[in-house]
Amino acid sequence: MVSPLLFIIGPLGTAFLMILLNRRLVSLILALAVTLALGILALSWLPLTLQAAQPMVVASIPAPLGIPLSLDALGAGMAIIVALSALLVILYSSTYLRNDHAPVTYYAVVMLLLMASFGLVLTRDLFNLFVFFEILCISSYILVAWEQNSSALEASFKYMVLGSIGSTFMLVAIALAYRAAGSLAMADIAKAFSQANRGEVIVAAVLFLFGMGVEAAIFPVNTWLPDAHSSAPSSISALLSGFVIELSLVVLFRLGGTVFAQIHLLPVLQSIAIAGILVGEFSAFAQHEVKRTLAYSSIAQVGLMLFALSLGSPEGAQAGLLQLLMHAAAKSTLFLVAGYFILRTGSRFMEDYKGLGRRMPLSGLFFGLAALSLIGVPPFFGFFTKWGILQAAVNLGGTIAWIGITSILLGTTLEAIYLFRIFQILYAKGENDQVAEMEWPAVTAVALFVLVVVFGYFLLPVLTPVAGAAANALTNLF
Amino acid sequence: MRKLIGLLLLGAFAFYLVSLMPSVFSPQSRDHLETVGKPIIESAEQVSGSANVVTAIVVQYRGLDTLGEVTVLFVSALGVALLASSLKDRVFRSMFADDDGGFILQTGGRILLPFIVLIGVYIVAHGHLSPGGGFPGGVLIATAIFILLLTGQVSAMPHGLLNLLETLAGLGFIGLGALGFMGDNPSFLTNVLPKGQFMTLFSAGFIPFIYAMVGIKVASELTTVVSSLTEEGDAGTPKENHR
Amino acid sequence: MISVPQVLYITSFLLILIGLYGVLTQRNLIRIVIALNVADSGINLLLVTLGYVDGGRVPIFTPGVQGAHMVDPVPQALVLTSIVIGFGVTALMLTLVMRIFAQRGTIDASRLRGLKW
Repeated sequence: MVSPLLFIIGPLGTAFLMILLNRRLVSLILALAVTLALGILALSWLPLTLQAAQPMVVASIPAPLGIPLSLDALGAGMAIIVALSALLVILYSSTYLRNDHAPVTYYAVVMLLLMASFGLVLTRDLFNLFVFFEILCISSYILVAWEQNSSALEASFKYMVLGSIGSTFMLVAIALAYRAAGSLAMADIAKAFSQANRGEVIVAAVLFLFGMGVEAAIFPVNTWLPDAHSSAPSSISALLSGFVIELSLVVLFRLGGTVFAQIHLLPVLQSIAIAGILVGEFSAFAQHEVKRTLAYSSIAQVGLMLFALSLGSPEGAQAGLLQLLMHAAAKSTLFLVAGYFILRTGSRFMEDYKGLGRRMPLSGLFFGLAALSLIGVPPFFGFFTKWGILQAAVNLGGTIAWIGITSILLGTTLEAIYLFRIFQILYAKGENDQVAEMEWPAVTAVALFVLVVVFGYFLLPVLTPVAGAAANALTNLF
Repeated sequence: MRKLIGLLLLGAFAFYLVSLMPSVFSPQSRDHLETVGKPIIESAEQVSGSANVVTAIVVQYRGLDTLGEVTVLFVSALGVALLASSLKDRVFRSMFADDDGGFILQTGGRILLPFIVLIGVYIVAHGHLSPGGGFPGGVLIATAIFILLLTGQVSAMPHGLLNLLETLAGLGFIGLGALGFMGDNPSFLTNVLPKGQFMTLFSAGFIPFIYAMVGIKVASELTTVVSSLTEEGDAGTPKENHR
Repeated sequence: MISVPQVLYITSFLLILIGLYGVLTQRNLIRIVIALNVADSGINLLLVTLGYVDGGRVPIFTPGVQGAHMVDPVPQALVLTSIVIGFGVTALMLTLVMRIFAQRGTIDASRLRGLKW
């Protein structure tokens, strides 16, 4: 009996096994095997979820009494992104973390992060969502503190305080929802909230979106992100920037579109998104550390995705989800390559990377390709996704949409300047003579991410219907 | 300045909530349930066989939450062990480094120890009949071990054994849940074991077994947390093999 | 006449607000952790209060008592989960505070560069 439950039990059981066996190599192989298996499983279910009108629902006790898990196109798509990025990042970690102090714990915590990520998109129960959200947060706190230097510890503490305030708010929102609906199933709450007192729904929505927004790094509550993503190990930054914040964004958005559908959140979310784009790009422009630049760029990219999703049109949501896939691949590449720059030079600052591009030709090439795609230069995937978002915004029209378009274009210009600046340093005349290229597992992992970024256009005929179905699932609670 | 901003923010928040009070917390007095709790109370005997409805919910109806809860404990125990392992200056330990607790605490601890463990086991075993269950029972057992650490009768915990117990209990939880796939209605966490006589010790199918797993897990994880904060040296993290 | 659940609701909201105020204003990291715990207690009280029923009994079947008039068992199960999660987060936070103290020699947020917000 194969069921979506495997996505939760699989990684969890693997984490227990890793700690039980306590061998670095065994953990590595287990992690690779499980992520690969789950990725293939999710891929094989994708056609099913596209054809079926009703998604696969699993629950030992049906909905309002028990906790249902449901696999729809959005869940399957996110599961593929999560499992495959995790697979590549783990492959990269095998050499990047070779001399680490606690490799088994590392892989086990990554497995639990995966379990929580899958759980967040599968569950249809509000409190269960909270539980998975907490597992996601706690594993992220630990991974952010991984390097155990004072900046990592302080970043992790800051992240924990904000995250705990967020989960406090989320629990109040859940209490309000239970009070209104007498049930924790999302479908029941959505029904109750559609008839409930408007003020009550607004309070619950604001509290919930604040809680989820902390993890999704939405504009006013994103202050933890630059510290956390830049002081975590680069493999973890890739995971956190690659799918954790996007996943939280998707979950936030699905709840906004279904449970809190009574109040019209979209204009508010659009404004927040525009603010996020501008703040992110301007801050990224002013940074001198490579990973801080990338982290601020993630804030801007989350803003971009949020803008696309909050346009409220199916094509906007579709473009936003494609942008999510592109960003997962491109930003992972950038973080993973930047990790080796830091490893080889021992410096977080960009000015120390002079001439690295010539010493590490593949890394330089990968970094350049991913950066071009992130900016949105024509032949690359990023161009088509950004174009889709702009088109959707133009079709919608209206003041906010045009302000958004202007900000996106301005942001893109800034993004092009600061990413080109890094590129320029990489190929400048410089002293870094004795640095070696990345080891082959890392090269393989990054190359596979780059493949998605470069040849994404050719995947569009396959990806577009999936994104369409997933966009449809964003506003429907099956 | 921080205080002022904090006060202003909270003031706004509080005002918002209080202005809603009449609608949200209307002074209706409820004398019957209209929530999902009502069908659960009605079906608990037949579905789970557990006299304690809260236990039935925790283990069976919302068993996935409990699995998540156990995972939260597991991951934070991992985190504590990881972060505490390189504490050079054992802040916590220095509080009673040279202090074995004195004669009274030592003797009292030694006498109380078996009783505390016994009560812990009792609470775990009666989770389906009375308030309690795996979580409080596990905490009690861990308390007994904490007394041993406090009185200096034990200075280092066998971390290998704790890890073994913790992970095996976790796998046991998953395994007991997976038994549900063998039932008529195959699914995770379906209670397929015989339910026995309602309101007796040997009843409720797999619930006492799952609670036993939770109890073992909670006890060993709390012990890991406490001991990795108090022990000297690098005993906090399991010795990992780097090959 | 103010009813029992109203008293509990108001208390729980006060606890949450006190906790959040503490988090926003305190500089000692341990106090921040304690403030979060206060907010957590408020949440737990709020959740339990949700299940209140006038004259309701403990949701445990015992021989010889009709089971019809029980309080809502669901929030009690939620509180159990919430307490355990709170414990996990608190343990991790305190360990982090210990590490920060061991490395920086202070737990004053205003003297830690990474903790200004």
